[in-house]
Amino acid sequence: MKKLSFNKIGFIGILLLGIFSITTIIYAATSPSAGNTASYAVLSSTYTNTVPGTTINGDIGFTTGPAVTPAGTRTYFGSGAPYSLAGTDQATALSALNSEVCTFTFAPGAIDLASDTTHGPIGVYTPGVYCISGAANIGGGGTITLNGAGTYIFRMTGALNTTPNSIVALSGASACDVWWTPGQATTLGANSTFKGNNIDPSGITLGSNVNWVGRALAFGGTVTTAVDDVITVPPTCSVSPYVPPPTPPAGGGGGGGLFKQPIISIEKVPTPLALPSGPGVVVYNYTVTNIGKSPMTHIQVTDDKCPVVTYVSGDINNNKTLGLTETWKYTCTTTISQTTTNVVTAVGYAGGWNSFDTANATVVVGSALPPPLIRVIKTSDKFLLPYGGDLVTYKYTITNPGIVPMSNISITDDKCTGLPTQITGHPGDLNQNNLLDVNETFTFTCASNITSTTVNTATAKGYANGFTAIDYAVATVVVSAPGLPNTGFGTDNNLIWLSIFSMSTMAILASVYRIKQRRKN
Amino acid sequence: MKNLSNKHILIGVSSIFFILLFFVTSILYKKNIDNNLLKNNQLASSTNNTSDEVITRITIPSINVDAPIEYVGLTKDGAMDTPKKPMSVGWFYPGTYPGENGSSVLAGHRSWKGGVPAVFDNLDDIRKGDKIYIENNKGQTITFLVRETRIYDKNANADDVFTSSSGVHLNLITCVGYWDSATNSSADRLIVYADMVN
Repeated sequence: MKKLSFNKIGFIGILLLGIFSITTIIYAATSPSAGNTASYAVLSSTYTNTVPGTTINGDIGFTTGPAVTPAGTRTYFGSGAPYSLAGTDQATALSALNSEVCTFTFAPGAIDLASDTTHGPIGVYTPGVYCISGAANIGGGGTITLNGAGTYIFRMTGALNTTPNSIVALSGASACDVWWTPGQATTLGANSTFKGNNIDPSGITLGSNVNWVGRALAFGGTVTTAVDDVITVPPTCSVSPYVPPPTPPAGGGGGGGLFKQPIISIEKVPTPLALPSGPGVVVYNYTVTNIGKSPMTHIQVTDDKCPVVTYVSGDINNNKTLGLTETWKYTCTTTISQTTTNVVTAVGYAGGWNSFDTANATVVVGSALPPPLIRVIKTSDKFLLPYGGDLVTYKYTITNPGIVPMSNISITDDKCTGLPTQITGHPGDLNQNNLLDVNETFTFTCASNITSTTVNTATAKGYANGFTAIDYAVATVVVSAPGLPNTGFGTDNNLIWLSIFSMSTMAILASVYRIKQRRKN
Repeated sequence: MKNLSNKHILIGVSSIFFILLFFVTSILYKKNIDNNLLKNNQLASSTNNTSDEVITRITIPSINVDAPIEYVGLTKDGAMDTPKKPMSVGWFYPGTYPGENGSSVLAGHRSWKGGVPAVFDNLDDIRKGDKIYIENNKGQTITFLVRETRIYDKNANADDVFTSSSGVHLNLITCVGYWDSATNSSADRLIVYADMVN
């Protein structure tokens, strides 16, 4: 290993050159233009809905209409303009999606996206183009989490099937940028949660009580919905700012600590946490901080259940940059009619990297017992590692931003083992009651030998009043590729030293000769 | 006359000394390279595959390359090292072994001191569809097909050269562009991307 140690000066030079290099080549999936499909929640030739209780928030396009008109808000219903243009744009978008280069190709055959481990962490997907030669499933009522801002394309030659109760969750991703392109029909299981735009002219069929944020685009085919289905066109697609994908700095060697890692953190507190007398207004207050080492720009806060998130204060110097000492406040108000858990996502950008964090909160309707809130912050002692990697220590800080103490606190990390799954007797438990009270902080560390670029997710859980509070924190550690070799005209250092040695020896011999001559004279 | 005679003797002894010194140093230097090569061979063999198989030779008929393979690691600056001989090709042994999933990377010189020919002098003549053969010490040959070539800045991010999420690839590197004597390096790198056949 000693051979792999790095000359710091040389490394800094190379890395600085790399950071400022302009020829870095980036290959990232990109979302195509939705064109005239953008406003359609359902685009089909035949739209089938035979029962009441379906809600479609978005336009519905068809030439053969449903027996029962679904509830929901929309502008267009039927085959009036821009229906035919949307059909054209659907084909254009599909063609663009099919031209994207696969970033990961599964082994041939049917793939269960919820249990697959060949692509990376089980159930977790990062932005990219995932190619499947066969059918794709979300099996066993499982969950897949789309982790990080960017475009996700799931391309399969076969059918797309999700099992009942399965979930497609977004963590930093936007439903606007999630694309499914099955080669055969799509079937979404009952009670499932689905995200993204599904372009499937072979037909799309929903079981009952499916919650889908995205678009069912089957121009030329049939879309079938069932009772209690809800399809909602993502409300913020047209205004989402561009967030560049994480791109490692160029140059060889990498190395920890030169580039300052940006880490954004968000805390969400709903008021009230409980609506005992039924539906009511809830105000969500969000606190965004920069716990990394680089100021961040392009701050973006979105809530999957509260559409209008408003900035309140915090940008002290008004430079649109989240400084290391600033705390930005946001708020959102909405009416909750049933017990609701929603997810807020904060994204920030610095020096070619984006950072995101999420926070969950549950508001209970019909009960006076407030649910708990938990927050976990995760940092790593290194961000950029040289080729070969290094030992990285992660630090986890767990707090209780709610109003009720929590029991059975646990912390896990999908890429770092050794964390306690059940926490008792923690020094942060000030009153030693084995509960995480609102004024207490539990901290942990975990060390892992990281040899390749790693995105890992910490999960903190706590329990109170019959509810489970859960929070995730994602940390990225990047292992650099080697620098490109210098294969031009080489300099043979050994010959240089040999020459120096020879000349020195010659000089010594000449001196000896002269001294000898003088003595003789 | 006597002084002149001593002077001649001294020059003669010195010359013999330098000649001996040069040969001894050369032998030690060569031995050091061979030891490193052997050590690297063993390391590569032990870390990249479970057999005693090691790659030994690269052949690219379309550009008349038929060269031995050295094993190279990292420089102190974190860059891929280069082969010690002008007509050798260096395989980056901490990376992917040729024929295994991922991208194995080999580099060769495109020029050498004193105008001596180098192994990848004609690498820029390689074309899509050309074949690259890698032979191991057991006489087995793996065939790769050139997919594309690209030019990178010498300091460019090389993630996609050294890593690949799927498939079996072989990437060749050499220097191109103007020579910058200040940094003792060419400005760019030519990357040849190839995929394993079957």
